[in-house]
Amino acid sequence: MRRGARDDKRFTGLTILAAATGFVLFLPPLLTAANDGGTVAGVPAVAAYLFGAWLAVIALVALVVRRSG
Amino acid sequence: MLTTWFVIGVSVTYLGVLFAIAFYGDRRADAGRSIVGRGTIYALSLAVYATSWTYYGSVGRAASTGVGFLSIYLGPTIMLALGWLVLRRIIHISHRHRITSLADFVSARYGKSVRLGGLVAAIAVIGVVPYIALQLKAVSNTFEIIRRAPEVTESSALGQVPLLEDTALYVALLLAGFTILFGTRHLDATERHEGMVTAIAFESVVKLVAFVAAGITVTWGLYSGFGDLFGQAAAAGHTALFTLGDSTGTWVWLNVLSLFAIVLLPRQWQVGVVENVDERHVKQAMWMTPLYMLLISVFVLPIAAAGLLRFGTGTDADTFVLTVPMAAGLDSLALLVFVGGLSAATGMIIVETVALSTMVSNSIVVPMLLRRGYRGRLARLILGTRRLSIVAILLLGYGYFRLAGESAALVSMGLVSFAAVAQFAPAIIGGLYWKGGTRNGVMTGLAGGFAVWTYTLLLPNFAATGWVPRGFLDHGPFGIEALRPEHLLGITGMDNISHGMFWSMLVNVGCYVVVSLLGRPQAREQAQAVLFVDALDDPSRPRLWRSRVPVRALHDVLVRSMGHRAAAKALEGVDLAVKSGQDADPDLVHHVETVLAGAVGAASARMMLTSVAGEEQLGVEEVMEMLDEASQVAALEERHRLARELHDSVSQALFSMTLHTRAVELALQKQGGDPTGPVARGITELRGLTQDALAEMRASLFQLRPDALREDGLAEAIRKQSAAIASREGVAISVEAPGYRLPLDDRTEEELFRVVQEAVHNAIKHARPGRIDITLLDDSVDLPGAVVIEVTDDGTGFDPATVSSGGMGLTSMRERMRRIGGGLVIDSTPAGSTTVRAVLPPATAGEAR
Repeated sequence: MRRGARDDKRFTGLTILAAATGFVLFLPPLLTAANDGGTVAGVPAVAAYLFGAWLAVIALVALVVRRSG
Repeated sequence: MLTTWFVIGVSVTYLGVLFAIAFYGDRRADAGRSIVGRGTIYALSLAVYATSWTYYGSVGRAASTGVGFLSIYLGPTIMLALGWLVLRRIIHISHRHRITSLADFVSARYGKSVRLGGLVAAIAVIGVVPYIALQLKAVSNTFEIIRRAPEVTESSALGQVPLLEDTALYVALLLAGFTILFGTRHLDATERHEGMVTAIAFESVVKLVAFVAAGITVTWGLYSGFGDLFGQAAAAGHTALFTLGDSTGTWVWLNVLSLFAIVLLPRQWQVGVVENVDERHVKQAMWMTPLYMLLISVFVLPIAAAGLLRFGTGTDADTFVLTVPMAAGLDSLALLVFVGGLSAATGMIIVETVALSTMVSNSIVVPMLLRRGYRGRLARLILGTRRLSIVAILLLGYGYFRLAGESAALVSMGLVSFAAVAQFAPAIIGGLYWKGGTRNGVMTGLAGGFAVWTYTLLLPNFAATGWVPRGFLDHGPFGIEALRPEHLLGITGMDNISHGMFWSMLVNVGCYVVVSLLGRPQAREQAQAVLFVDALDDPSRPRLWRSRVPVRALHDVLVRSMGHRAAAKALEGVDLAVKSGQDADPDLVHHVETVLAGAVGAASARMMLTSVAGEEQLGVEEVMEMLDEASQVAALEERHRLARELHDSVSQALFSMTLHTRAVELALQKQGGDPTGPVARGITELRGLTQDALAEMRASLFQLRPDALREDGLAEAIRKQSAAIASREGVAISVEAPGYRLPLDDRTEEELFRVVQEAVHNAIKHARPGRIDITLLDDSVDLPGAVVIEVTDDGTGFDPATVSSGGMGLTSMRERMRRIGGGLVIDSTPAGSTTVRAVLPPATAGEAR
């Protein structure tokens, strides 16, 4: 296989992985664990969890994009 | 204190700035110095996703469902992470086939079907017009609220504003003007509107700044940070803020819905696919657009909390962003928020109407006219249709707002619109990855899904507005409880969106798959399926036009549909004076069809060409030919296998034969045999023959494997090729090259190899040399970092000045070197030898590595 095509496949694979991470983090059952009505440092726990997870997924995608050049 | 005229002045100034920016963007594009050639602009323009519905409505939803509003952004984050897999593929296909709308894409994928394109366009218009109404409502309401400052009015208490005093009407008219000016400036094969995109990117910045400014002021100005704000909210018993709201089922469905919406909403398709200038921008948007969404949502919950604390739960939470600063006396902030909301609404309306008008003109009006045998000038007609449909769509939206504006039902139209465009998902996603999907499958799937959507989501909305009797909703049609629109088969416990999505998707996907599998696709459908699904693997495209079309006829069609200038541009490089009477070659016909498709849509382009060329003869053989790619691959693999086996058996045997004959020769000499005797001569000859056979064998093996160059590297490939030529032509060829593989990319290797091949071939043909020396230098002393290849022969030379530049393949060699950024020097005299020197300078060589 050509080098360019192989890099492209690799990149696509990594982004699919990032999207899958998003699926796992954003949807139940992991989400339900955070949805307990409590607070974390004064902020609703479920909101803190979702924003944290969201930022993590964005960072992951940004990292993969940066690495691919 | 904000007077009405001041607010009007600010709004008009803002729209004026928008005009100026769009104008500037278009000017830059015309001058060839485009500003949309940047990933950031692309990522920002994708943020047109955040409309006034989310700008104001998110806070409203947060007040009742806590972080439930986030699903609208989390789905798109996942879809954009998959951007390289899905969006990039769609862009790639759309650009190659000059597809300029979603309807056109579906139509083109399934055999360029006119009816299918029309259906998609109709669904898009019906599904999205209420959404436009929603934007106008937001503009109208917020304007009324802000002009009554400092008194805080709830939007439910606003009542209907008289028609001529309604800001929404003027905004709609102004936006129609803007959209016509910048969205239908000219008929272009790419349908790109750079000015518009620039303005949209600017609007994205404005709404983000306004919302974040409001959020920061509320959180740290009116309260002392998140902790304080949420602490007070908890103490006041606003527990809804601390949950996910709704059921988790709803949460999942909303994620799925918005996941599709980020690509399939007509405006998203317009900015994401049609206006995309470079596929690589997708990479930037993959993280930047979600980051934008995150930033614009951070303060939704705090503002909702502040609004609840200030006004209590019974009030209209949708306008908290505006009313909280107003109640605190922060007039200028309120004005900024209003402008932000205005930008969110106008951005959405502009792009949405451009996208819809393209669909209406290319997928509904033009095909209809062509069907009826319209033969007049199309260019002007298409532009006229687009302008007219822009006005019509905006007025439709405005009319819908006036009729349904008072009811709360309009607010829920946002998600209902999402559900309408989600109906395109099976056709498009399936069409990208599954060759088996057929036109009939999509037709039934779409029609079925849309019917279920109408029944379970649109009609209940009408019922809530009062257009349909409510009893229909509560007891089902004719009192049949199992057919209640929001509780089909008596299912309860699902909210209306999840319920509607479940049933419509079930019918849609079900019909698509079942009908596709049971039916038999037509030849043309299969052809298009192959083109779309294998889009990324196959750089060449099959020639579909086999009928004979005179070039003149093609020219006429182009002039008729796009005007003289565009036609001349499309046929650039074709000498009309000479060729106009001749038949066009299939490539040219294909080119013209693609260009036409950009202006009038794929289905119409096909119809127009059919009208001049006669029904095309796309027989079973041609389609088989295209589907035969797989067997071609199989043939290649077979050749590989053969080459490997020959190498392992015959080549090895020949090699041992040369060793053995040499051994016999030596043994004979040792035993004192006569070196000139018949035995010795025979053996020497035998050794020569074996060696020749071995060289010949190696050359044949090399030719059996078409990608040998790629596998062996440039130096090794030149060595093997030279050995083959040397044994065939009886010339001594020496190759001096580094023992390692030069780190060049495939294309550079290929071009350099061809240049060497051509040079050697030339030398043998014209110079009749005794020997040829090939030197390959990587990083030579006089040119560090460069790659230099020299081919020198000792035959009769020529005077480079007298040989016409086109002769001896010199042009093609020069052209090859130029393509990879290198140069070619030929040094020859009629008396002496010839040296062809190909140089790849250090910079290019470095890049090609």
